[in-house]
Amino acid sequence: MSSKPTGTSGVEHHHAHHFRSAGHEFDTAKLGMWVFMVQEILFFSALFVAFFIFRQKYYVDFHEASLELDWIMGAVNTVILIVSSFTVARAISSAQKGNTEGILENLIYTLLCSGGFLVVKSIEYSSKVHHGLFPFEIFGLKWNVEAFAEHPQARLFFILYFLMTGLHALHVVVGAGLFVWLYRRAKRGEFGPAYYTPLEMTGLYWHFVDLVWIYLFPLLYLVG
Amino acid sequence: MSQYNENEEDQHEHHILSNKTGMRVFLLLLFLTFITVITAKFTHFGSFNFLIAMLIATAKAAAVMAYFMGLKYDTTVNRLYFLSGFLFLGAFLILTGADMWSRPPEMRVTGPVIKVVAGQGPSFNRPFEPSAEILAHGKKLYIENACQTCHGEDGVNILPQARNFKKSEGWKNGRRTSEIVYTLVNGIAPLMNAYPTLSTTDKLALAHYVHTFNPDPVPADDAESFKRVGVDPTKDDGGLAAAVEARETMPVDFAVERYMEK
Repeated sequence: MSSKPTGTSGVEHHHAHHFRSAGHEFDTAKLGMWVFMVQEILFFSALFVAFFIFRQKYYVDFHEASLELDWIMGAVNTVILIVSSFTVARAISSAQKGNTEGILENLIYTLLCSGGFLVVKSIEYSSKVHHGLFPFEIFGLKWNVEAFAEHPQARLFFILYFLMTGLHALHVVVGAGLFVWLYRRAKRGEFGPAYYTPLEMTGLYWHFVDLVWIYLFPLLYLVG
Repeated sequence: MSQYNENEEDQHEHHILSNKTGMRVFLLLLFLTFITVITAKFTHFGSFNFLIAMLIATAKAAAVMAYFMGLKYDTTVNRLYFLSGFLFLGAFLILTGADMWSRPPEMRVTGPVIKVVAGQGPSFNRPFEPSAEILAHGKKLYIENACQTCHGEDGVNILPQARNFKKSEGWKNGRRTSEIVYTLVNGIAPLMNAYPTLSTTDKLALAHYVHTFNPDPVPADDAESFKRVGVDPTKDDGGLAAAVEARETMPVDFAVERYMEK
């Protein structure tokens, strides 16, 4: 990771006229982002609460079902996301120090991590489909009743598993798209100490994605 | 970072996460992940597993929020906003859980069928004959089951299609005690409900109470009609103490749904 400041410390930024200053504009953007984060918590909370409640009700079935998940892959994904949170934080501090090389490098690492996460996820998903553990009867797929003949509520576990990790994976895909956009802007020299708001906002979003996974992993894979 | 602080009111510094702090938080997160896996998979804390896993996850979350998301260096307002989200999540979880697990067995969300001895309520000898005690019990049930909402508190029907208990005409199943019990067992389409949650003794008590509205004498009953509703008139207690009947329990929300469907 290069640490010598290069390039664009002298980036000009003209804040929108209805703000007192660039600082005011930044703080406003940040507040808006935090409010969005609150919404995201509530967005995921519906599924989390459903999972908690039904896990209590059908404890045995859920436990049996969760044994089917590969916790090693889950742990790998956890590490990948923690690394990506770290690299996105490094990208932002690079911008704050006027180090464009640092921004670009760390954005690439973050993108690689999000790609890695999605690769592991698709391996997991395809394995489930292969074993007939995809609980929705669409695309001609059928739920494998024999696999959990004595634990009928295992299907509910898998419904929640796919909904929760699927919603999360969707957020990862969106995040990856945002990082590509940020990379292109950084390459054009748009970010520096005077202006790095989009980086900061996307960083917050990405840390939230990491937060959700920090809870999903133990809940689904370890103590489900 | 003076470009951000042109104005007096925006004089706060934008905190830069140092390499050192960032690296330390990163390593802490990796370490806590390792601990999570070890405690869940390779130790035996039994039912504490869940709590431990959630506590470690919260510690990791706190580290990400404080340092990577910068809440430690941010304004109080932003901290309050974000943490309020978790407060609402907590309210959602706790209130839902409290509702579900504070219900007594007969009010659970999925109501079980419980087997009860048929003789519930005050003990009745010859329950096909009224007594003051039976009538008082019947009156209590009449109100508890909201019979008066259609049949009136004095037996005169409020609902036009409901039976007027003061009159002797139009009783679709008949006016005999056993026949009133039969109506309570099966209902009458489209508007009169069946009452499967009432025991047979309760239904008999209600039938006796309904008789009190009508000045005409109660028509004579017979053994066949009683047997049809599970009462044995040759026995003193109608055979009800010894009989075991399955009583459906009706969970509150399902009852509401059925009521709405009507």
